[in-house]
Amino acid sequence: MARRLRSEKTEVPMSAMIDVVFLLLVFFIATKKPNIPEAHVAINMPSPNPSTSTDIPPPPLMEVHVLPNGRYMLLGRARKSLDQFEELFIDIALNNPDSTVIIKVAPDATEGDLVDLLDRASKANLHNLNVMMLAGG
Amino acid sequence: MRLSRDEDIEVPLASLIDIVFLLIIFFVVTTNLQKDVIDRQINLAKSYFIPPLEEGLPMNTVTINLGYKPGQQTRYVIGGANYSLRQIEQMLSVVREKNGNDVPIVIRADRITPYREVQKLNDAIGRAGLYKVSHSSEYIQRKSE
Repeated sequence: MARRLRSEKTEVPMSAMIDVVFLLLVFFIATKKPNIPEAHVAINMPSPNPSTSTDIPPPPLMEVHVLPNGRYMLLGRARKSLDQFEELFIDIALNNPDSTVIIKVAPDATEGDLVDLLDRASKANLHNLNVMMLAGG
Repeated sequence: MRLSRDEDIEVPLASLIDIVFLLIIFFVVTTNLQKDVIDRQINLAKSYFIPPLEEGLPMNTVTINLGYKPGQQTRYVIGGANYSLRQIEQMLSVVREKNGNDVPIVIRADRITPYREVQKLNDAIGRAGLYKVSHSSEYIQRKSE
């Protein structure tokens, strides 16, 4: 086989490469899923070592129960809708924005039920949210 | 100035290919990053008032995906891999030893997950000595905004 002369140019087949590269680009653009905007709400977890000190006065507390099927209760009274809770949260936040809300969630209530309530608390600018499971629920 | 007919008009292919390659690299990298952290099979609960994340999460954030389907075993997924609660507890204990107990934890749970399954994860996080927990939701912008 004859050896190539030094003066010969080796050419890369550009048009074929561009075809492949464009196909790859089209593939990635077509398969890219849009980013879903996510929101995070911070909750306070029950302390593993509860403090026994009684020197510090407890902050104002409010207790809400999240029950299955999107039902919510406040201090044993049944509340009909999240809108009523929203009004209550706004009233509480106006009086004391540092108020603590203790949210007790029934084992059969769903994450969606909890997030709905957290969403309304967030609207009222209540940020001290303690979440725990409802005992014997 | 008009070009004469015998002049060739050439597209600068070299720079075009550079740009296209950069785009491809961008898509490949971002696709893999999202795949590592977010489990796309999870349907998050929707929220309207919790402000969406404008800046990214801190680098040391641990995102735990909780996939739930009725009649199936609950999946706990970190970085695209399934783990048991015991394994998650061990991993989080190592994280706490290295980075302290204020490492942020994000729980991405399916909206239909019964809270008892979330509580199992909460218990594991608590046993590992971590406390900074937040729940993730899908932010829906209201039409009036």
